[in-house]
Amino acid sequence: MEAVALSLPEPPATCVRAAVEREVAAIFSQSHAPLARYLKSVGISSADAEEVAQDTFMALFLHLRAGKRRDNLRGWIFRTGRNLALKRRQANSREILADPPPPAAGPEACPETNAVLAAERQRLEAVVRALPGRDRECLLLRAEGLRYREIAETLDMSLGAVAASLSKSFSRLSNVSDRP
Amino acid sequence: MNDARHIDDSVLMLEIDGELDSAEAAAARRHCEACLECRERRRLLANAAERFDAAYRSAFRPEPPDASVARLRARMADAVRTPAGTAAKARFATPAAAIGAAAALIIVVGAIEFSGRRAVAGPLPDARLTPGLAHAVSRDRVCADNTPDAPEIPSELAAQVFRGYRIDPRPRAYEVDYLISPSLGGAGDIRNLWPQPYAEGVWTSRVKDALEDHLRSLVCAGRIELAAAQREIASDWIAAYQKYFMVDKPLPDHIAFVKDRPWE
Ligand SMILES: [Zn+2]
Repeated sequence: MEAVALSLPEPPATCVRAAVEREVAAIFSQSHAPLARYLKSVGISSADAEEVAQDTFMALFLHLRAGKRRDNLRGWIFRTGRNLALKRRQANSREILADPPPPAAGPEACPETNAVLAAERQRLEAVVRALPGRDRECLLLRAEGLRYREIAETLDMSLGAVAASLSKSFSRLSNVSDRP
Repeated sequence: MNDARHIDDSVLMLEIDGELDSAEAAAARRHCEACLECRERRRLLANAAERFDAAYRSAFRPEPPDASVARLRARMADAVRTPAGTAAKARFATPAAAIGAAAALIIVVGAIEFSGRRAVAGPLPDARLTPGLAHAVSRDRVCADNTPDAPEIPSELAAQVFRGYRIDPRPRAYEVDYLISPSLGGAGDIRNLWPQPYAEGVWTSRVKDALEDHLRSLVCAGRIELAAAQREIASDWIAAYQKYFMVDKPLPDHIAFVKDRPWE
């Protein structure tokens, strides 16, 4: 069967904007929690992480509305969020009242039901905390489900460097976590 | 099979996480089947990754993002409602009453950082002549509703601005603009006014209006300090635009052709 060429009128601008709004809200629902957790690991408070996540998705909205590139959007989101978080951390450190929080190893602790997992996590956290910042970030981004190319985009590294960082970290962690 | 070259840890990691293409992955698996050393390294890496993921997930605090989504939706809708600087001047104008009360208290915003710039009028003012000046008004004042229009710049004051910049004001070539906009507490003082050329690329006063609009909404939402907004706009409003809109160039719907306050 032959394809029929249709000449459709351009959708009105309001429809395009509404579609972008819906799209951003959908991505937000999926990526908000992982992004906020990751941002906290960069060294900002929960409240700041929430603000930065909001700003990040507003930037995404403007980015998509302006018809800019859409490949590797999750990498774009995390990179933008990371840059905003670093700026905020720097701004906070300049303020007198700011208390620079130490970079967290992962998500904040919560009442643990599984004692084995809790103990395991404590051991892992100690190792993770000792890792160089970039290695730690690779680890956490991967744990949040990012693909290597997305991690690479976020941290402005090559894909090979991401793989090397992760294998190094897991090799170090295997000395800890391989215990029965 | 006993290859002289074992598989690198990073390639094993790529294989474990499904990041290799199918041919590469098959080759890696074949090697591991035959090579005890690589097989063992792969097992340790995979095991560590699995345990780390499990421990990481066990610490998740489930947070339904409903409220966050609602907030983001509201912000997006807001950005759509106020696209360019068209309505900005009328809505976000000077809180005149506050300025009357606080006229004595004014703050030079950007004087120190900018001493050695060019002395020409462009999309950015000369910081020696126009460092930026704001009234000491509170955020609440700036954000109060039903604010009156930005005060007209008296022609004598505008003429002083032109003299300061050694510009002979050809009709419609320049608009005397506030550096810190009155909507952000900017003062109608010669230190806060500069001749902005009409024909100077894409960084037009409309684009600046859009920034002022955006900064004011951030200030009023408690997202940034009023003083910070004043400082950023005074020190380099183009850089501030690029920062807050995350773009290098003005967004298409911030660029407009008609000036709203022509100076003739
Ligand atoms: Zn081998």
